[in-house]
Amino acid sequence: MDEFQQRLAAAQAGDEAAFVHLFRSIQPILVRYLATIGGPLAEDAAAETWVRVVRDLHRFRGDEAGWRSWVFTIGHARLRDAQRRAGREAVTADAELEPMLGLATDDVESSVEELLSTESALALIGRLPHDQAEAVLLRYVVGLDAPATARVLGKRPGAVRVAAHRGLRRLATLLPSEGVTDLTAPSVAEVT
Amino acid sequence: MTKHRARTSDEPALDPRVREIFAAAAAPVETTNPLPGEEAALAAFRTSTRRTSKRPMLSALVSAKTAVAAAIGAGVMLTGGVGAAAAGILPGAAQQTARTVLETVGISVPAGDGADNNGRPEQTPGDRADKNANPRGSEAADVPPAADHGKQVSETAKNTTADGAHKGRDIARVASDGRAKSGDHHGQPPVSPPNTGGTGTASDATDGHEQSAGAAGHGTGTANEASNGASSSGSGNGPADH
Repeated sequence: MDEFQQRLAAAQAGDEAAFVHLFRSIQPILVRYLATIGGPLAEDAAAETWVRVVRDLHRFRGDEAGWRSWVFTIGHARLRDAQRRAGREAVTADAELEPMLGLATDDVESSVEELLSTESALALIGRLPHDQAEAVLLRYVVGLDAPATARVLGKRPGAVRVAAHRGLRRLATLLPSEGVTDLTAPSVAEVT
Repeated sequence: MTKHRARTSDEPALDPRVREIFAAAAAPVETTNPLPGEEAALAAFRTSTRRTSKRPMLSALVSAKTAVAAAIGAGVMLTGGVGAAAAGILPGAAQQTARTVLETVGISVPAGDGADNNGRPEQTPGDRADKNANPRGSEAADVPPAADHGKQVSETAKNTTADGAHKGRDIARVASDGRAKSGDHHGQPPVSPPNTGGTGTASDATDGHEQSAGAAGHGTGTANEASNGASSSGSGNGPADH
């Protein structure tokens, strides 16, 4: 039994520390995904996601990849529900993204550089068409494979591959030739 | 915290600049403080854990209560059944079954209304069917042999020295075993003849003792005989003795 399985079993048995570890291993990237796709609805969607996760945690069986896929499937569905309730289209990342990126207040100063690069990277991905942004985020940021991404999105793996491929090509065209580091300033200025 | 996963085989070769974008987007968060949403998730986890841990206790309690209730119910039914069997108030077949069972454990219970003194059932459905097939029932055994009785009547009719109404009286008395009053003097209060109708009326008047002629092998003039004198058809107005 690997480390993940041990933590999962402990969390399913009620171990809070194990659950916190599982939460922290996925919450930042979950919030980034939800914020990039759903904008201001991300916070509520993330909270509802964890309510569902803890409710059904004792029934989950699988490895770490399966765990991530399961949590993101729930998160994606909760975001869709929140969007339907809000009656609005998905919005791209904006200034509301910053407080949801998973940084505690006392870590802000030490993580400014990281925050800027993370925020700008997400803002750049958020410029993609919606289906391409979803596929690119899940495939290359979250790290799911094509079948798992397809399950999260409720699409066929082939459609996911196509969307991801187009997203990659489009993303490359958005980048300035001098590199990502130089991209930070204009991106931050753009979202603020 | 989060890991940027190694590229899988189906991934296209990434532009190095795009790869930097993904690395920045998936950058881990290094903090010991609670993340946004962590307290709420932990509270939900605690609530769910308490609910989950209560479920087995609750189900076990419900199961125990169910088992106790079932045991009490079974005990009441068993006690009541034995009591009913001891009182002999169960239906015939059930009483007999209870008696057989309880006798094996040394408990003696009465055979019940549905059995004779030897404990035999009163009658089986087959017995009833047989009896129904013969509407005469067991009363047929109480009637003297029809041939002998008819012979007596015939002998009386042939050998009597009386004549007229007296002869008829003698014959009727033999035929009715002395209960017929035909030939007696009148003057007694008239009564309605109890058997003025057909067979059904005769049967009613004789409390079911009326016999069909063919079934009993009697002659048609033996209504009194067949009803043991209770039927007065053809006789005078004497009172019916029934």
